[in-house]
Amino acid sequence: MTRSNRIGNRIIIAILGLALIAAAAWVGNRAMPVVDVPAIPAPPTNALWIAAATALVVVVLALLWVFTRGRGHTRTVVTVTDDSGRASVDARVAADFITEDVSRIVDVVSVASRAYRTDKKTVALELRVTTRRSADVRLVVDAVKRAVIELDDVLETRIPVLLHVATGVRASFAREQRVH
Amino acid sequence: MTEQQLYRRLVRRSRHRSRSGTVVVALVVLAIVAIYAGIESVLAATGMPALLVSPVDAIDAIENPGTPVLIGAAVAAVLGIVLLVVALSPGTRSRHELLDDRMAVVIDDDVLAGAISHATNREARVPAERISTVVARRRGVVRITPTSGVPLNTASLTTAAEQLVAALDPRPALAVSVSVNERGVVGS
Repeated sequence: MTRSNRIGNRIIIAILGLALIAAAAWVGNRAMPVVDVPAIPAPPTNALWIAAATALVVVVLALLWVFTRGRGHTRTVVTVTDDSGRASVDARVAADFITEDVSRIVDVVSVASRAYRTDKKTVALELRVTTRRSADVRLVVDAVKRAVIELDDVLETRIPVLLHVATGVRASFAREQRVH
Repeated sequence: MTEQQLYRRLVRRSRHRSRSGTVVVALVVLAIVAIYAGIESVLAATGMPALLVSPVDAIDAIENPGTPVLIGAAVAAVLGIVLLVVALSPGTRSRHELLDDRMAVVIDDDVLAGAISHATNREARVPAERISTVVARRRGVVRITPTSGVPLNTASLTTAAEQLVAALDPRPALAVSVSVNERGVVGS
């Protein structure tokens, strides 16, 4: 849930796919000629230098895109400024506040949280509550909501919250709670 | 951006894959290939011996393909089609949105299925392993195997399942149906 450019990802994957198909088609056309395309000439020295330079540019752009994935993580949820100075609240603190209330519910296995910068001034908190499959979803959602509203009061501001109720590998291995 | 707009975006991004994993793998492979091609080009341009294949030999192999090159081309074609499908498919994850006035809420379909099973079983009262629910985007199907000699009322089971879905109100909307296995099993 980061700020990564998803359309960009799609376009890059599509271009690489098309390039692979085009290369395969070129080779296939040589094995079983369908279209008459001129052969690639033996490269002169300057063409080799151009190829090397192009390769360098491709490498730089590719790695640039790779290393800018998943950006937008932040540790600070809110920064409050008043007469006495600035105070910032760490995402962990906000998460612990909610975790304490929610983890008491039966069938909640774990609570994890991450904060994301969604635009220049907004930070959203993502809460991932892992439950067993038999969990009462309404109970979990309402408990988180109560905790979030309490957090609003404490921080005196509203943080955007994304709640994700999930089951995971851990949840499927955890023994189901049964009342007989 | 208002909070509601932000929530709509958060939910949309949570319900779809980002494809960042695919992009990272594809671009790292591309970078490795480009580094190798660049090195061979420089070696050829400066008249030094090739590491593995010189550009001239590589072009020759492509223009007059032997069996290994043809196999490579076939693999490339399949890989290219896979990438195109990944790029063009909607990439929806199995999650539903729940409406809430304070938070954006998404739940995994497994959780939703578990909740439907649980609610239906309050009515059916069979051991938990004999009730299962499968949730797709717009449809949920509950399957129950009854205990022999204890008939189940499909209508009231359906009502129980529908009540839970109505209470949660997942988006996209879900139509539930209950199917009771005709053959029961003995004991509990």
